[in-house]
Amino acid sequence: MISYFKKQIQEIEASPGMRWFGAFLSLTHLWCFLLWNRKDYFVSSLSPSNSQPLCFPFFIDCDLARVFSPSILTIFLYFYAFLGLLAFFLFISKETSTKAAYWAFAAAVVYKNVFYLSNYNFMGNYHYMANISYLAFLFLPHKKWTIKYLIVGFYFAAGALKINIEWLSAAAMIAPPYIGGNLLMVSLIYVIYLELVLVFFLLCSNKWLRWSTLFQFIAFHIFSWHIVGFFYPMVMFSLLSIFLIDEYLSWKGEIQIEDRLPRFFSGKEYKSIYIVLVIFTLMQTLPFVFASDPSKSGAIRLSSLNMFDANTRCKELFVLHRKGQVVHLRRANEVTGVRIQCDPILFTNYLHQLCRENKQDPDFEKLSFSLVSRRATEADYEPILFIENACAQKNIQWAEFSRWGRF
Amino acid sequence: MDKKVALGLVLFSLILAPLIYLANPHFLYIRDQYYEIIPHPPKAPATLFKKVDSSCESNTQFRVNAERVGYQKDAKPRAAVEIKKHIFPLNVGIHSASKSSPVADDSGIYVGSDTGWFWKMDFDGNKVWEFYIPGSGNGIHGSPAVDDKKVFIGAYNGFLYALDKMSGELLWANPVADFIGASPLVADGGVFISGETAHPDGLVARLDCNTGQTQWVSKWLGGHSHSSPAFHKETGSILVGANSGRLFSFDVKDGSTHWQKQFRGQIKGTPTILGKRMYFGSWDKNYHAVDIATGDVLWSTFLGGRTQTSLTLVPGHNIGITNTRRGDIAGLNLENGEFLWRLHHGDSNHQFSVLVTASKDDPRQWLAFSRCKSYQLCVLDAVTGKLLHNINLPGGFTSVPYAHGERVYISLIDNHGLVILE
Repeated sequence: MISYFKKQIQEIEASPGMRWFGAFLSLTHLWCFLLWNRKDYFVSSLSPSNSQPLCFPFFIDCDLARVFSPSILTIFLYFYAFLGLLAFFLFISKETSTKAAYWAFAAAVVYKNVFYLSNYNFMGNYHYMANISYLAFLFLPHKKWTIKYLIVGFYFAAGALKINIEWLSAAAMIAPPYIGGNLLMVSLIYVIYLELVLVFFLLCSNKWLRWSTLFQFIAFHIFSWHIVGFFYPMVMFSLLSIFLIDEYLSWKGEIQIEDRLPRFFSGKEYKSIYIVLVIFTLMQTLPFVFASDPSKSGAIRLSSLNMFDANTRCKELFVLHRKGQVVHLRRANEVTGVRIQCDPILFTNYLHQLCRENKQDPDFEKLSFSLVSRRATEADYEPILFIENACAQKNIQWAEFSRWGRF
Repeated sequence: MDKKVALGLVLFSLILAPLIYLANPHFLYIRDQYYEIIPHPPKAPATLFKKVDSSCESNTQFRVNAERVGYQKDAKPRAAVEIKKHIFPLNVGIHSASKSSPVADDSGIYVGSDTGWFWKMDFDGNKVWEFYIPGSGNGIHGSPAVDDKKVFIGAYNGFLYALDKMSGELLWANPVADFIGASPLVADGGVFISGETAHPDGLVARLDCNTGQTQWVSKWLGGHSHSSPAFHKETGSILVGANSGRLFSFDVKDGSTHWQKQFRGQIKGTPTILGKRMYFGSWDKNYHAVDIATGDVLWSTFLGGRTQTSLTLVPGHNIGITNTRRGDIAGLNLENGEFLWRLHHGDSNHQFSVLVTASKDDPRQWLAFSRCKSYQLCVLDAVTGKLLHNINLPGGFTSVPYAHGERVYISLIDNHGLVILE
C-alpha cells in the first residue's frame, strides 16, 4: 500500500508540469470555499436548524449528524480553505517535497468530500468532475494523459447531453443569456460541435488546432459566467490548466506534444486509460438503464454528468393520512438547485423525515406520495413515482429503483 | 493530425448535423423563467388512491348548477333571518380574491378557506372531517362541487382533489395547473376546472370524475382564468372567460374551440346561462349578453365600474341580479339589459354575487340575499328590489351565501368564520 502511494508521488515528481497542475487542482478547493461561503450557504445547509435537510441516499440520516453550531461550521469551512491553500503553496514551492504537497492535497479532497457527501444540495457537475480528476491525480497511473482524456470525456459527455430541444431552444438556460435570436441559436449549436467534435483537437499535435480549441473552451467558459456563476468556469479553468501547462512546456522546448488520437484509436494507448474511459462511459449510461428519460426522473444522477438537461418541471403530492384528517403536504424548503428540483431523492428525503416524525403519533395512519414530471418543452407530465404507504417501505430513499416505487 | 482521424471527425460532424436538425429547435427567446415552446397547456396524470364510482351528476356546486343560475328553488329561508350560530375562523385575508362559498346537499355543508383548510360540517356547523393543504399558497378560493359520493375542490397549489363525501378520504388528486382559484364544474359525466399557470396563462381541463385522469386540456386562454366554467347542454359547450378579456366556448367532449371572442376588459366572473344566452360581467364596466351558439353580443349594459360578479337569475321572471361598482344591487331585464330596479347601498366592492331562493313566508316570492354595506346582509324581494330585511354580520364577505332548508350559510372574511342564519 505504501509503495503504491510512493509510486503515485514519484510519477507526479517525474512528470513535467504535474506539480503545477496539482497547484491548479488545489485552487478548486479555494473556489469551492468561495462558493460555499457565499450567503452562508455552507453554514445554513449543514446547520442543525435546517428544517428540511437533504441527504445522499447512502447516508439518509445525515441530519442526525448535524450537531455543530454555525460558528463551528464556519471554522470548518475556513479550515477547508486553509487546506486548499496549503496544498497549493506546497505544490508551487520548490523547497517543499512532492510528498508533502500530495498528502496535503489528499487531505483537502477527503475533507471536502466529508461535507459534500453530507448534503445532497451541494451536488453538481463541477464537484463530480473535480472529484474524478482528484481520483485520477491521486491514484491512477499515467496521470497526465488519463486526466487529459477524462477532460475530453467530460466535454464529450456534456455535448452528448445537449442534443435535445431544451438545450437547442435555450429552454434549459437557468438565466437569460446576453445574446438572443439567431446568434443564440447558432451559439447553442456551436457549443455542441465544440464539445463533441472540436474537443478532440485538444489531443492532436498541431499546435494551432490545439490553441484555437483551448481558446474556444476558455472563451465559452468566460461567456457562461453570467449564466452559471463563477464556480463552474473557475473549476474548468483549473482542469484545463493541464493543457495550458503542457503548451507552456512545449513552447519552452521541455516537452514535445504528440498526436494521441491515432494511438488511442489504434489501441496503442495505455491500457489503464481505456479502462478508465470505459468505466466513465458506463457511469454516464447507467441512468438510461434505470429510466428512459433520466432528465425527467432524475434517476441515479449520482453516477453521471447532468448538463443543462431538461429544466424539468414536476408536481409532487405528499398526503398524510391521519384519523379524521387528510393533509396534502408540501416541502417548505425551496432552496434547491435547478438541477435537483425534481430529483426523486429530494422527495424521498422528505418522506423519510416525515415517517420518522410521525412514527410516534397515535393518529397517524399512512403517508402516500406521487411525483409527475415533464421537460420544460414537453406538453404532458409523465408519472415518475407512486408510493402508497411510504412508511411501510424499507429504504425509501431507493424508491425509484424499486418495483413498488413505480407507477 | 492523422488523416484518418481528421476524416473520422468530419464524418462524425456530418452525422451530428441531422441529429441536431431532428432535435428541431423552433423557439429561441426566454421570457422570465418560462419558455413558451409548448403549443398547448400541459396535461398531467392524476394520482388515484381509491376508485369510487359515483354518478358524476351534480348534487350541488358553485352557483347551484352547471348553468350557474345562482338560485335555489328548494331552499326556503325566511326574509327576516337572524344569526343562529357563528363558528370558527375560515378566511384570514390571504389574497384579495373572492372566497370559497359554502355548498350543501343532504349530507352536509362543504366549504374551503384561504388558509388551505377544507371542511365538511353538519348543518349545525360541527366539523365532520377536514382536509388540509398547508403549502397551497393562497389556500382555497374556489367553491366545491358535490355529486352522490364525492366532493371536488381545487386549491391554489394547482391541484384538483376528489374526496369521499362521507369519510373525507382523498380519492384522487390531479395537478391540473400551477394555481386554481376557480370552482370545479360537474357536468356531462365529467369534472371541468379552469386553471392558471405561472407565466401567466390559463387553461380549462376536463377530468374523469372517477379516476381524475385528464381527458382533455383546452388551448391557452391568453391569461389567468378566475372565471369558473359553465355548461350549456344544448350546444355541448363549456363556456369560460379569462383575464385576457377573451370569452371561450369549448366542446364538452373534446375541448376543441367552438368560438372565442375578445372583449375590452378582463372577464373574471362566472358566466350565467339561460336558454340560448349567456350573461357575464367584465372589467370593461359592462354586463353582456351573448348568443351561446355564435358568441355574438346581444346587448351590453354599462354598470359604471368593473365587475366580476355572476348574474343571478330569478325563476319565472326575466330578471338577473347583480351588484355594481357604484354601490347598487341591480335587477336587469334579461331581454335587453335595461335596469328594472336598483337598490343603492353605497358599498362599491364589486366582487360579490347574489343568492336567490324561494321564500318560507310567501311561496310566490323570491328572496335575494346580498352583501350591501361592508358588514351587512340585505334581503330583497328579487322581483321588485324592495328591501325586506337587513342584518349586521360579525364580518364582511366576498363569497356567495348558500341556503339549505330554512338556513343560510355565509363564509366571512378576515378571520370571522362561518355564520349560520335562520
